[in-house]
Amino acid sequence: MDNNVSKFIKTPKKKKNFFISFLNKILVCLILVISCLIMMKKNNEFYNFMSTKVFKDNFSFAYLNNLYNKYFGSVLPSYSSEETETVFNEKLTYQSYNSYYDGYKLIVNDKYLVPIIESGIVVFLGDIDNYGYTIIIEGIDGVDIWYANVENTSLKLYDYVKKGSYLGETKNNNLYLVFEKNQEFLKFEDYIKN
Amino acid sequence: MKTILKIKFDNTFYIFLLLILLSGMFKPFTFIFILIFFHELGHAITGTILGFKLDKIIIYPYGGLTKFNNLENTSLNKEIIMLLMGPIIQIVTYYILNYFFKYDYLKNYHLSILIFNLLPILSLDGGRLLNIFFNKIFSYKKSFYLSIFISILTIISLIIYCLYFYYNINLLFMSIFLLFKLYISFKNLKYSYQKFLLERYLYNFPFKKRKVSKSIYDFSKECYHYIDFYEEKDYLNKYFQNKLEK
Repeated sequence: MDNNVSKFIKTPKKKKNFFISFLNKILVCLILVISCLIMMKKNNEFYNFMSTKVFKDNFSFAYLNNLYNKYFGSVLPSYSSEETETVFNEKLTYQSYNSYYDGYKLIVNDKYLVPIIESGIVVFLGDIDNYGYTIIIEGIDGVDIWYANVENTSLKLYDYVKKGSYLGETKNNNLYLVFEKNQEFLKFEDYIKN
Repeated sequence: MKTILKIKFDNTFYIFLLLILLSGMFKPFTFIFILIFFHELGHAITGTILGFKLDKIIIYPYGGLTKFNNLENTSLNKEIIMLLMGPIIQIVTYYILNYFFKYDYLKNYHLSILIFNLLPILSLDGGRLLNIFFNKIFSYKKSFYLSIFISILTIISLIIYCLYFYYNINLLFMSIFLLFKLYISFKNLKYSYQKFLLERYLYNFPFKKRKVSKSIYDFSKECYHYIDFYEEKDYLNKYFQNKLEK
């Protein structure tokens, strides 16, 4: 065959062996993990860094999402969402509050409809000791707010919720709130000024 | 089993996946992925039923692409059915999903994908449908130029809409990507037209419509042509044999 012609004829590619490439990836992962472990054993600072950053701190989805929305527009395509705005739009009202374990106990009306204080993403739903049924919402400012002693919620895990929309109903006239940021509990007065 | 292995993910899809992971949009993303996947499956399954040869399915962040290895001279009506079945299947899956999971945002995402897909841009479903309707009236090249013109107009209006009314960088990237795809298809026009002619030279298509055309570059789809008392086949024989001798 001519040299000119053979240039344009496709030579069939050699098929990659799936098993070997998969094994290579596993080996690279193993090297990374073992080197991290050795570093943690030798270096105490690195150990502290890893234990706080990887095992204790939360990654704030809502904060990053808010930042992206602010500078680049929404992540997913949205057609229009203004028509489906919720009617429920209230501020938190209470009679008095005092501290309770890590957070605060608010005295509210019986069967009070709780509004969401700061918009964010739902990261936990379930029972916690001393609090009862708790919903944790990770806010766009990076602060986790625990709403405890509530029932009748329609929220599900990893839903994005808006400020002022309906969260749930209190079981009696007590509402427990906890403000947490990176393992530290914030003061109620600092967080809500009014 | 073979068709399952033909699904491929574009590299931009992995970047998008990372973005989804960081912003915590797991649930809406899964619904969008299901909608896109069934949309493409609708194209692929109807295509294979109609006798097209499936090449591969590529999945992009906001939509997919089903590639067929078919002839340029395939029946236009068959192609219309193939193109329409994607959105129809997507609507059906939306109603099924809406029956089981009642989320407010589901309708929003479904409509945004559907409307984007039906925009008159040549590499999207809407643009391809428009191209086929043009092909029913005009010649091959004329309809191609017309649909390219309309696509460029819509892309420019999309970019203006993006910059001034609804700021979204993802949509901006997407419109630039579509513009790039348009450029590639414009560059490949002469090759696809040669393929169109070569198929007519090699095979005997049973076309019922007859048409008189001025030159060989003026042919239209689903028509048998006459040029100056000569039949199309004679002309094509002459054309390709001259080419081969050179």
